[in-house]
Amino acid sequence: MLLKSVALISVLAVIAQSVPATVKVLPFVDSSLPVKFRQVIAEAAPRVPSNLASYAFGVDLSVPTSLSQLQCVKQAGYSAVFVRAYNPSGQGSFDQNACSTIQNAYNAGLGTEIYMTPQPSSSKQGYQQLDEIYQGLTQVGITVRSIWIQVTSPTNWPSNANNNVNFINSIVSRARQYGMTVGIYTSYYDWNQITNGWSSIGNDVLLWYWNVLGGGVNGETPANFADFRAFGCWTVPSVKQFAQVEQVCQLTVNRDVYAAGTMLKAADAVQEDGKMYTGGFISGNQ
Amino acid sequence: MLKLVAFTFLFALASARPQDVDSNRIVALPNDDLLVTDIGFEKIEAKPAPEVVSVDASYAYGVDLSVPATLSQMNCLKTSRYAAVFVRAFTPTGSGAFDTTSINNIRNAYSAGLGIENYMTPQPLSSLQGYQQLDLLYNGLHNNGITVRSVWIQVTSPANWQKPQPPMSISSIALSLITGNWATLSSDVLLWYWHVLGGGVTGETPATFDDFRAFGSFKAASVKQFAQVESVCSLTVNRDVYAVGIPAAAKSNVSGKFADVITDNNKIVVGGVVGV
Repeated sequence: MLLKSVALISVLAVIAQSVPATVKVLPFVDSSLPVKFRQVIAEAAPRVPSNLASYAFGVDLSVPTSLSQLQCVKQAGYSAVFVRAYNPSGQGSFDQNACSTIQNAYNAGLGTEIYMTPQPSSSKQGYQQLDEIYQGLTQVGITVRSIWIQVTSPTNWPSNANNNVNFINSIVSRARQYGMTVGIYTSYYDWNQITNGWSSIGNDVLLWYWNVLGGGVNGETPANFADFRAFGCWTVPSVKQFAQVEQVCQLTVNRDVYAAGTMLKAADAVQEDGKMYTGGFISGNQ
Repeated sequence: MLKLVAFTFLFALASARPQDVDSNRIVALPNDDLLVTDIGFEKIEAKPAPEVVSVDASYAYGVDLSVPATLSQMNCLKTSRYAAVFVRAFTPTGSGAFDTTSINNIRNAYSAGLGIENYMTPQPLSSLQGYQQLDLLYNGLHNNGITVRSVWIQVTSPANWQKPQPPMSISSIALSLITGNWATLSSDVLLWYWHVLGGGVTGETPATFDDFRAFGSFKAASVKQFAQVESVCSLTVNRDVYAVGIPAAAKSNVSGKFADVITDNNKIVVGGVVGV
């Protein structure tokens, strides 16, 4: 008899409900398994190669930055910073750090793009959340030319794909009303999970996709678009996040590549009219 | 010895931490154009898979499926150089149920000389606890003369999993696996991971473990699903590669014709094909 005893491993062992007498009582390996979470510690990122002519490098971050840190980022070979402008905590709110980071980036000679991590479970509609960003940046004199909407982490989204589609579209439509270029930051799997593969968002919407094998240096994928496969309505990407949770200039960041030819010079961040612009560094033309 | 094995994919993404929020300063504006009235969704069609060309004796190919397969289809898989099938034995529909298609799939696979593993797609939202769902699988197979040596638990599709509720149950553990690094899973739990760039042939990744990176308590992988939604022998399947190891020790007779399929007292035995 192969089955001498049925021993369940600890996956089921932590089921802590009382077992009725009629159900066979199984010898649990460990009935009080503490659930521990491994801390991901950011290690130093590899350096940006100096001879890559076709791709430019950026970092994306949601932490506060200093001018010297962004100067260091620029020195390290990065051309742009993707800054979080919306914080999903609670009901969601404008991320005030974006103001100083955009300012510091400009002073350091880096281009900026902004992304929002929306709060789909908020009582605030999608367009209201975008409005908060628009007002928050406009009030400090920053003109927003484009916005990237983060559609990742399926566990943070409600399970109804149609509602998610409408939520995202609320943001996209509002951004169009403001004349912004809109992009989505996602992966094919996130997109399928959250929107059920929504394929009619509009040809004007750009794609920033991510693919890593894991966090940190060990989990990087090549810094190119070779692993991109068409999904949703996208046949070409504009940006790829290829590394997550690494240290650059003492900042914990993710690392990105985008087609270099489309990038405006950082000096264009401030036009002759003296206004500061964010966004518009990435275009859909490949 | 019933060995439970886990099949997981980890998403390395940050999750929101609840905090108090500032008051809204929102101007009410019209939102008539903001509802999508005609939502288009991508449709995925299974195209024929490339042929198996195996030059590495330490890897073998398998398919995983949840559709019914005839004996001739299983024979076709064997001829197409697949060594094993991973059969779904538990379906998440409704509150979760034993997947009755597994019975004939297992019998046909056995007759075709394929190794057989089985997996369960649990229903985390069910009133049935994890162990009760496993019981349904175990009894379902056992009552049909099939002995289960190991089971793979599918922990994918975060959209189908609820936030954890106390007390701990298989769904919350799986959710932890999905949302974080759970470092204390028992070391005898095996890993079947997946990595594709998209569905179908164009989305395949190499049929090797080169893209595996340790996470949680998993230092190595046993199986990799490298292709999804393809057609093999007119079946819609996903394709897998696994390390060919020594099956767990079995005190049983090895059936004459099919050396890699084991029977125990005339019962088909599933599981244990994949080595550690």
